Formats: sequence, structure tokens, C-alpha cells
Amino acid sequence: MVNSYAPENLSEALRLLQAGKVTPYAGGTDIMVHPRAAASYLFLRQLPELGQISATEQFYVIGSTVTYQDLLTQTKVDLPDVLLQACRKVAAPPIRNLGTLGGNICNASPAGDTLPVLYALDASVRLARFEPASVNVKDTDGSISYRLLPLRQFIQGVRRTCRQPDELLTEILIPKVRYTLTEYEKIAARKAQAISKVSFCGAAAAEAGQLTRLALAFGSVGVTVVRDSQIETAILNGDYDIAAAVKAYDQLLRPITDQRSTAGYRRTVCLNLVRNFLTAVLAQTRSGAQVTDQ
Amino acid sequence: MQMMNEQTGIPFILNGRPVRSLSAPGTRLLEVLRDEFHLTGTKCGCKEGECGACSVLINGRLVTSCLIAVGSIAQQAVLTIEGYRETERFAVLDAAFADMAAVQCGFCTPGMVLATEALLSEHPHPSAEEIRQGLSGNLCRCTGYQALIQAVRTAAQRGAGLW
Ligand SMILES: Cc1cc2nc3c(=O)[nH]c(=O)nc-3n(C[C@H](O)[C@H](O)[C@H](O)COP(=O)(O)OP(=O)(O)OC[C@H]3O[C@@H](n4cnc5c(N)ncnc54)[C@H](O)[C@@H]3O)c2cc1C
Ligand code: FES
Ligand code: FES
Repeated sequence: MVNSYAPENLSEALRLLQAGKVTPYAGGTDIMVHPRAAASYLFLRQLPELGQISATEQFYVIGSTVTYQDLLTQTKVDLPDVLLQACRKVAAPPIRNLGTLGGNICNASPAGDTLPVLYALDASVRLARFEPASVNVKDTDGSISYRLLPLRQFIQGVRRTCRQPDELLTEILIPKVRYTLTEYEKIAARKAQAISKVSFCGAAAAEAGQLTRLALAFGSVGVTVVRDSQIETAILNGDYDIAAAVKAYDQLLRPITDQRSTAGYRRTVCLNLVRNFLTAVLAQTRSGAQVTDQ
Repeated sequence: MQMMNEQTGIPFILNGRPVRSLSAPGTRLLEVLRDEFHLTGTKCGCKEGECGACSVLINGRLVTSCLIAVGSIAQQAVLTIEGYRETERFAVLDAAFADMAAVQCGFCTPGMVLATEALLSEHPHPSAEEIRQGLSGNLCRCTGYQALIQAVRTAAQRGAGLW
């Protein structure tokens, strides 16, 4: 007989994780597609520490077990609209009521729909582990230590992250940056219940006719989300016009053919999406318009 | 800390009554409902979260019971079609689905009815788009979706004030 656990707080959860052999379970929508009979689960949804949404001066802070539906219905924090657009396109209501942002990240699927947005917005993840007290210190029973790292470092490959077995993802931090144009696109076989063939997030800021920020992120066309700071910088500096930028992405992207789509289709769609987005960005920059998209 | 296994059992509220499941905590709620509690109104179409036939309401929210480990819902309130059919709202949906010919084989129907309940609780007067969204996690292979959308619209009209 195996035990599963529903700890009451984060410290308890981390201690159980450190003791070994439990699988963190948030919404279960990835785990339960291939359940293991003998699994020992560490249920996370009841942990108060992981279910909050808040904002500091610099960041939006989203707890790892916040569901898509929570993100879409909460009114406390004015979250980036482009993130909510991605949440709306995940699966269908029953899955959005269960699936969490932390699960989407830890699952590290190249087709995770929120990932291009989180990459484009320079999100970071906070991880927690339990530090046992040193034997000399009798009056404490240990403490929680945290590390913060950029999402693009955390995700390392298809279903691979650098989370240590005794760590939990606690929060996702998104810098509060003002963009003048953002876009999210998901291309899939149907509107609902479909895994992306391609997903794309673009975010740009222009000030006084000058492009000051640019992020272009592509999902489902590589082992992880693709974002290239060299190309972005070249566009920002005016070294690349739209045609040169599209050509650079044509050389960069290495989509594959699988059961959902073909390499050629994915490539064409990505290049069209980036061309359209850059065209809109440059038009906006030129007109000096300060349309606020957030 | 709450430790659970087949011996401790997992307590939850099922259709308004406190119960205790003695299944392993990792067992799909779908299987607990059908095999342990013999509530076979909740259907199994895919076990992958794709079809919505296994939909139930947990704390009022629509979820696919095939993707839920029973241990994850300790102390929470599950409503299946068997519990929902005792309600006044069900009577309105029942009549609307029948009148609009939105039921053929009936396999998707329990899930469709609970999806409609969740939708009308959030949007008592849903737009066509909201209806499509609300039912988008539920597949029907028989009726065609137009009849279902018509049934929801009819229920919303007839049941004004109930939701
Ligand atoms: C029918 C269906 C449709 C879907 N459609 C989409 C879609 O359109 N777009 C999309 O992106 N995804 C989709 N998914 C995938 C899934 O719903 C998402 O990836 C979801 O965000 C996963 O979250 P979860 O909380 O359910 O993860 P879980 O299944 O609970 O966990 C996923 C993984 O992350 C680990 N984990 C979870 N939380 C933590 C934590 N806090 N710390 C450490 N490890 C953790 C778990 O151990 C597990 O390995 C779909 C799934 C199904 C079944
Ligand atoms: S059986 Fe659960 S969604 Fe199909
Ligand atoms: S009536 Fe047969 S599947 Fe819907």
C-alpha cells in the first residue's frame, strides 16, 4: 500500500518531498492521462502559499497552483492581457478549472500554451526546498530556502527542467513592463481541446517613434520555446528590416513533422505570424501612436 | 499533515452526503464513482480529458472526473448527475433537452447537462458564443451541436430566475 499526502502548508510539503518518492500533483491534467497505479502523490492545491495572485512594485506574482480559470476570473490584479489570451485558448472549461500555470511550466511540453507568453514577458520562476536545521541548532526545525531563475533557464528540453527532486515551484514572477503592442496566436486543429501546431507571442514597446523593446517567442517549433535575443536586438537597432528579420527566423527555426502538423506548415505559419506582428509594430512605431495594449 | 491510503480512506461529500472512498488515492474519481459507489450516470469515453462524458461538478465547478485522483478532492463536494437530477434546475434542462431533440444515444448527456448547469450558473443568459464555449469540453457524436445549443438556449429562457 502506498501513501499519498495532502500537507497543510508549504514547509510540510517540502519536508515530505525531501523524504522522497512522492510526485507533486497540482491539477493532475498532465499526470492523470497516464496514471501510475502505485504512485504516491503530494497534493498541492490545498496549500495556501501556492494559490495566491499578487503584485509588487516590479512584478506580477502568480502562485504555481493557480488555475487557468482562476487567472481568467480574478479581479484583484491587473494581469497582462496577453497571458489571459493564452489561458482562454487552453483546452476547454473542465480542464481550465483544473490545470495550473505551474503544471504547464513543470510539464515542459514544447506545446505548453502559456510558455511563449511567459518567455516573451521574461518570466522567472521561484523554487523552494527545505533546509534541515544543522544538528547544532536545537531550537529550530529547519527553514525554507528559495532560488529564483529565468524561465528560459528552468526549462531545458522536452519535459525536462532543472527542478531538483526536493524542490517545488512556488511562484511565477512576471516583470511589470509597459508594452504598446502584444499579440498571442495559437494555431490548432480546432478552437477547443486541441494541442498547438504553432503558438506565438510578440510583445513590443515604442516610445516617441522609437522601438524600445521587442520580444518574439515561438511555441511547438522546437524542443523548448524559441526566442532569439540576437535577432531581436538587430531588429531593435534597425539593422534588420522586416524581410531580413523574417529571413533570420527562417534560418533559426527547425520545426519538425509529427502527428499534429508538418515542418513546412509550421515554418510558413511562424514566418507569417512574425511578419504580421513586425508590420503592425513598425506601423505603430512610425505613427508614434501610443496605443496601450495592457 | 493528511496522509491517505486505502486504509485511512478519503472522505468527501458525494451528492450532499459525507462518504469515504477506500480506493487508492491515485485512482481516477471516475472509477471511484462508477465502481465503488455504483453511480454509473457518469460515463467513461476516453480517460484523457477529451470527451467530457465523465464531467462532474466539484464545489460547483465543471471538471473531468477521469483526470482527478480521488485523493486530491478530500473534503470537497462532488455533484454527479444522480445528485443533480433531484433539483428543480435539472427538471428544466431535462425538458429542454428532450423538446429540442438534444439527446440521441444519451452517452454524452450527463456531461452535457452538468456543463449546462455550470454555464448557466456563470451566465444565466448566455450568448451563442458563451454556449459554444461552455460546451466546448464535451463531445457528442449523435445529435449535432445545433440541437444542444438550442436546448441550452431554451432552458435559459424557461428557467429564468432559477440560475
Ligand atoms: C484534454 C486536455 C487538453 C489539454 N489542452 C492543453 C492546451 O490546450 N494547452 C496546454 O498548454 N496544455 C494543455 N493540456 C495540458 C495540461 O492541461 C496543462 O499542461 C496544465 O497546465 C497542467 O497543469 P496541472 O496542474 O494539471 O499539472 P499536473 O498534471 O498536476 O502536473 C504536471 C507536471 O508538473 C509537476 N508539477 C506540477 N506542479 C508542480 C509544482 N508546483 N512544483 C513542482 N512540480 C510540479 C508534476 O509533478 C507533473 O510532472 C491539456 C490536457 C488535457 C488532458
Ligand atoms: S472520460 Fe473523461 S473526458 Fe473522456
Ligand atoms: S447523444 Fe450520443 S453522444 Fe451525444
